[in-house]
Amino acid sequence: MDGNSFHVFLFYYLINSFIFLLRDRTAQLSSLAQLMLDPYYRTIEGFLVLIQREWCSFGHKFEDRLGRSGHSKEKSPVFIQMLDATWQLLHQYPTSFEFTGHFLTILMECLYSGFFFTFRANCELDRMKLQRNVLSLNEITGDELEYGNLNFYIHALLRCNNIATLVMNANYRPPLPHEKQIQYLRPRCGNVDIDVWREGLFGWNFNIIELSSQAEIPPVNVLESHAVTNDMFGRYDNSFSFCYYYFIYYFISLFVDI
Amino acid sequence: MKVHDTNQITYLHKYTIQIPIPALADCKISTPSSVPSNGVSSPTSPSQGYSLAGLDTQSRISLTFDTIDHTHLEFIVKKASNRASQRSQRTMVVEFDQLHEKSIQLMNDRLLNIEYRSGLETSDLDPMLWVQRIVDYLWFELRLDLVWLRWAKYLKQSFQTFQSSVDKAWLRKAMMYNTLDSDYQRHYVQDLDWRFSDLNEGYDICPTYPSTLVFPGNLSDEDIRGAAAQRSIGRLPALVWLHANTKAPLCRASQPLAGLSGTSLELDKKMCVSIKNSCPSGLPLRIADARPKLNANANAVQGKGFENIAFMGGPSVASLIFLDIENIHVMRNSLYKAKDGLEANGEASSVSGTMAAATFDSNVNNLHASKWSNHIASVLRGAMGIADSLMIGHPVLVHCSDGW
Repeated sequence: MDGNSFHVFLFYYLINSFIFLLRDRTAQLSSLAQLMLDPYYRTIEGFLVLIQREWCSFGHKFEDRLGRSGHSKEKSPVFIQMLDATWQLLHQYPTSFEFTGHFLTILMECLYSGFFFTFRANCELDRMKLQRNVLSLNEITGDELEYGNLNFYIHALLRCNNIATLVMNANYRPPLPHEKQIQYLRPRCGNVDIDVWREGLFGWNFNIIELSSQAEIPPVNVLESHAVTNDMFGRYDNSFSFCYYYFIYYFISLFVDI
Repeated sequence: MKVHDTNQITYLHKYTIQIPIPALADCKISTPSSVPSNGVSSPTSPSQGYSLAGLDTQSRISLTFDTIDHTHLEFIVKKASNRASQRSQRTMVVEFDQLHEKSIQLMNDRLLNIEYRSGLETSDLDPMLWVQRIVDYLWFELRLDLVWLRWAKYLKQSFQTFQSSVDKAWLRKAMMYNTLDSDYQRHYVQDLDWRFSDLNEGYDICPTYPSTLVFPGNLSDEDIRGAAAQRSIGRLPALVWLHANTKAPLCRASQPLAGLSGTSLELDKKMCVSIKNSCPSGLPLRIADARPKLNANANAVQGKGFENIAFMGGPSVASLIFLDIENIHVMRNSLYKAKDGLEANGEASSVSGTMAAATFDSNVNNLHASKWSNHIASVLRGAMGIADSLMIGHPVLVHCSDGW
């Protein structure tokens, strides 16, 4: 190898290792643009359809980006960023979304749970293969319910009155007939206008803390305290999720005696 | 509990994982405790119940697992050395609840692939750790399945209590998750100059795309196949959304295989021009590249890069915008920086289980210092530019490097 080709090799190597990897913006940009324009995607059903098409079908690499595949360089909070940007829209236009910020937080918990095929695998083909290999609960339980389906889970949550009041936006103003197709939200998006998505980034019980910040001994909710002690990635990687914590907690204690 | 002899173990070679053992001065012995006193098998902790006594450099540890019957799964940790007299084995049995035979079969199929994911390729040379890691991993997987199964059964019971036999509309709605075709039909795509295509039904044109795609109507199947070959990883431009009033399409793709000149992509040019012609407004196509231009140039050196506007037909046909959004590694480091700030502040919070108000203020400061909000703002700005273009009537094609 002479000096010239070595320099070319070095150049290519450096580019490959540092600059080249840059992806994942397409799904973010197109889904946010559709959220700004189309009021259908601001309903719960439409938001799930949007995630299904832009992120699952068109092949967002969930398995790599959530750090499940073991490559630490591939890990990145891309989907969280989309949820955060959606929350910014919701924060600036509180009447034009059917759901509240709690819905986005529930989605974030479901994202890291690993229970839903929607957020597994790297593309649609891989997801089909995974569903073929993994235990099918329909075959075991013999009914037509699909437990690994996020859409089913969200609808089941909405059947519970307590959760529905948390998730459905009471201030929602459905689009008028002339703006049923297109209703353009044009958010302020300077750096100053971006607020902190407290619920999603700091944990569920932040509202409780805010109310009780004056008290000397703040009340401790045992079931939720894990959400504060482990923050960001760590909390989601290491602990079970909040939204079905109540469902599972009892059964884990029955079976696991490590 | 059932204990296998050596002949039976060699018969079960299908599920065996071989682990080489380095030289060991002395190895800690863990006493097996998996035999219950009353003779009835019970759920056993897998990290107890095997020992690693008397290992030498030539011996290997093998881990074998097989189903005994429909309710038990057995792990066998076997030490195999050159001398047959030193062979020893430890077994452990995991008891299940009554499962179907089919589910056990499916679980066995999953266990076949488990050695690739169990951390065997690490440089950790302690065999005790290796075996423990594998067994813990297996146990974790099985536990997850059990939990999931239990959860599903519980959910099913609870549904049966509160779901009325009259109103099952919500259930039908919940099961109808594959509504993508109907979502395209919501915009009357079929009445315009677009067509549904199932060219990718076998995932051979682009393995990371869905099976049903929407393309401009005037393109033949050969054109589409050729256009896929001229984009990175075959992710060719496909329709995702259509503006209801201006009929301006929003398409997404990956970067073209343009190189430095970008003048050899005839079919890609045809695809872009037909996207532009499908819009009744007649405005030029806006290609939104999410990268900074510096990174796009670096990709162009590698034979990828961005579209050549002059080759496309000049600014009356297409225009190119760089949205200057940083890459995923910057985002990850930004979030890690915020997390470090949280950890530096948070000892008191972990003790009390909640967070004080002053701690929260400094956490927010750390979040601002990590520029997380700046990245959110840049993403929102880019999306707003795309939405503006669609409102005016420009057709838009979004792409970055690979367009995941």
